[in-house]
Amino acid sequence: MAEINCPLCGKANPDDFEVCQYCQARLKPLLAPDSAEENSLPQDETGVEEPTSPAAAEIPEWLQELRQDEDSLELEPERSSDELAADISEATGDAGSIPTGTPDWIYEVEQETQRDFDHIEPPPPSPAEPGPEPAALPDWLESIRLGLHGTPGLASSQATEPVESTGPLAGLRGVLAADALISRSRGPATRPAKLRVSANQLVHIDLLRELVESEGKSQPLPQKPSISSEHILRWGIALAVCLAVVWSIIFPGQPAALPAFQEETAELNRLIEQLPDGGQVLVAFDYEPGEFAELDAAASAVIDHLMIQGAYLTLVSTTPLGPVLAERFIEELQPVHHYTAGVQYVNLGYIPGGTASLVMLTGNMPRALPYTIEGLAAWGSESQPVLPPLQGIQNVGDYDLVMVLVDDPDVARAWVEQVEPFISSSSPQGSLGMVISAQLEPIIRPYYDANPRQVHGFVAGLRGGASYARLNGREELVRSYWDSFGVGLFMAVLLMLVAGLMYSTYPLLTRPSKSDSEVKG
Amino acid sequence: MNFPELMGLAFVGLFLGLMLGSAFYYRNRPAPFVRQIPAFGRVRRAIGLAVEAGSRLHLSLGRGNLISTRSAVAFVGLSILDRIARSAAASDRPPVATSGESTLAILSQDTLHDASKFMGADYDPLRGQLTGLTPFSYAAGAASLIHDEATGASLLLGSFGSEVALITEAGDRTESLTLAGTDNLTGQAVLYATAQEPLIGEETYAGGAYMGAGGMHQASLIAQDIFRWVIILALLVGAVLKLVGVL
Amino acid sequence: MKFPFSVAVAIGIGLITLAGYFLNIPVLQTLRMALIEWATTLAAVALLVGIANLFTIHWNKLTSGKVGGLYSAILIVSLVLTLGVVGWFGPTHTYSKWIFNNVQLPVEGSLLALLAVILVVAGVRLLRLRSSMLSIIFIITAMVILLATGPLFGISVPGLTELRSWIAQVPAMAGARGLLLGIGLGIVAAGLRVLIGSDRPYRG
Repeated sequence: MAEINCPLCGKANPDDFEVCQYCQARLKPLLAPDSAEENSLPQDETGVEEPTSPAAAEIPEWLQELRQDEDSLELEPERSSDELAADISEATGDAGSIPTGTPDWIYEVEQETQRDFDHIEPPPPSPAEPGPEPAALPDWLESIRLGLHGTPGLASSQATEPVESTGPLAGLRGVLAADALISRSRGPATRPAKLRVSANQLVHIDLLRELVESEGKSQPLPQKPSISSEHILRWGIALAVCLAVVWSIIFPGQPAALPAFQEETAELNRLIEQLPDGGQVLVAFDYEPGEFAELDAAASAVIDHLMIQGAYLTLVSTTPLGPVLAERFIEELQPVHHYTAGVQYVNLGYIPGGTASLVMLTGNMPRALPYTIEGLAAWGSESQPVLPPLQGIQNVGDYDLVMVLVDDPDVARAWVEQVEPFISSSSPQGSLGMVISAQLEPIIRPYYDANPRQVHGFVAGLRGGASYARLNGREELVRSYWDSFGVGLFMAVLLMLVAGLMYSTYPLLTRPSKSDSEVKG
Repeated sequence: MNFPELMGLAFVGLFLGLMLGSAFYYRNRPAPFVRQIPAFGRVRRAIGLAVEAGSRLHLSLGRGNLISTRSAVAFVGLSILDRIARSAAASDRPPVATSGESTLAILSQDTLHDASKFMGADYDPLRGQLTGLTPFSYAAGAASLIHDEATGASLLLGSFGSEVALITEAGDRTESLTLAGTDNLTGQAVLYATAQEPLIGEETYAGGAYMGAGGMHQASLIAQDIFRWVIILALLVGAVLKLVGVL
Repeated sequence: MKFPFSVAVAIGIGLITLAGYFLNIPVLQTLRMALIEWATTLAAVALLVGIANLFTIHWNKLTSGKVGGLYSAILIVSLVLTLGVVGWFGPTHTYSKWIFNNVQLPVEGSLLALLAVILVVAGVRLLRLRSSMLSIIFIITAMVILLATGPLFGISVPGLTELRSWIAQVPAMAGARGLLLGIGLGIVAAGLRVLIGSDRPYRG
């Protein structure tokens, strides 16, 4: 079977194929049937058109070469074969013979001059301005004119020469047409319309045409599947984690042991144990409502311990919703401890300005936070004494312990860097303790490990809260979520391991191997 | 004045001197070589694509209080917002900024207004939005904006905590580029796993220099680099002295 | 060079505050405290402006019929109701607490739960999106920390707790310190740019 090479990839294809079996490039040019039939000209291998008109066969070799050169270079308005034949026959002398005795070059110049003059037509005389009257020639000039006309060798040629119609030489024949000769336009020569285009180029033209035409057409966007693999992944993971946690709550198994305490937890426990009777503690509820689950669980054992010690609590916050969280927290512990607002504890509310205002606590606290959250004058008035938790307090350095419940690293650092130096310098007994979100442990630990300590003890996350509860013997507070917390974490690890491995290796497994693609290619 | 305060003042003075010196030195010289951070190259490309495609650019400034240390990263975000607003002023859908803090929202509106005025473009005050006042409400509001506006790219440059994952998730679902940097360590850990282009550590603060926000940004980058090497050297010397028992 | 009055004010106040932090001069200390008090008052006012901005945005969304208009309506109604209840009864009243405990906390808690799922999904996808040695270390570290944090069904894996402590106290802390140092330098640079008027977020 005959083969045809692909113009794009060069590989051999059976000649009856329309497109390349390797690269899908078109092997045969797309041609409209009508125009193809009308304009189809037999071509040789190089694409040069073969002459079809009878007159073309008579074209001399030199002219054919000239034509070919022109064809290969430039375009030319299409001319009929008859016109071509007429030109050729004129050039070959069919239209007339060269007069004997006249050199070829003179004859050609004459012929060309004649053709040029043939194009020049005298402008029609304007009716308003009649043309100039022929001048009366002097005798000597008239004799010359007659003599010229009477010259035998020139007579035949002069007869064909045009007569000058304008200017001082009007009426003379054979005047050299200087303008016509000099300024003869060599402008665009007539060129053949047909490009010499190879099959390869035609294929590319077709491709380009298809591309240009497709640009204007609106392509329908591929519709996204309503449920993609990403959706399945997300829903699957959410479902698995939720089910695991709910299952552990509904069907609790053997309760797991609470974690052993760590040094920093024990240190905080010691600080609270050492509080004097009626010790005053500033508690900052500096976490956002979204983090309440972790922080409440971590702090419940610590605040419970403070209440057991009978400490007076002053509640503040650098977040706008902190005071409400503080109220809620105390309410949760109310059934056990019966703390009363304004007696055992006072909520001074939001510190305007956030962490930047912490420095105000080191100055004049009554001025910075004059009212309780209920709108009472916290520091006393003419009709009301200072509330018990605030007696003797002027700034943050007067507290026996400052306890910060925090989930934000910047807020935690602000307390350590802005408030702790003042606490330490004010009283040797003053301490800063923290209950932090587990994510803050790497940030807070350096302050605990520092010498001297900038954080004197802390509880980190649910694990820290659980270990504190175990230390304090109040396990029931954290027991309700410790086991389900563990199940949720385990499920998360399992999913990351199994689903992560599947998800990351699946594309590698489904990707066609190199050898396969080579065979197909 | 005690020793730590003196050291602090000296540090600030030196830093300022280095910044001004660098700015003066490179005033008439080509900008110094800075290492490539591919993320910023992609951002520039995303801005161009967004202008061409008529999609919205979204810049989230976080929830850093302006009178706290978190304001610094917010200032960087505002500088980049200014650059982006000017670059994309010709777009049919000019950039939109979200924030989780009131003062930041006001400043973002001011920045957008200024950029629009400079470029002779219309200004819509709703382009600077406060989407929420708590971390999660802010993130949820920004995420819904990404979805509703079908943003082409989201730049998260500010103070974010773990809630930033909600925003990057929204960008992921809309298949838009998400570049993110924060000063919050937890936020950085989350961004490493969720953002397409996370910026680590001080890379966020270099944003102005990479986005052509001015010569002083480059000068401060040089000062940062010099001081970083000084700190590394001090740490190494301290460790060696500790090992040999001097400290 | 254009040097507006606001720039001069900003630079002056910044310098006074900075100097008041380092120099123990009574006048500077007093000035610094006064300026901080002003700033906190302005921040509180800005909070109200922010709420007004939030209201305006959602009002415009609602009236212009944009996508999500229903949610904007819910937000506006909730905002007005909460403001009314808390403003009238006070923040510690039962009604106010009811709104907080039964609307705000569950919504925020749900978003945190959603965040937990998103982070697990991110962990699953990390190796495919960014397959590098760092990503593998990241995932393995996360798994170790998670396993060692919870009770693990009462099973005690030898060395796991110690490994968690080591990770938290050595590489994690070292990395955190390095990052914090870099961030600190960035904060100083950004602050100084504002202080010398190079960065002017306040325009003027």
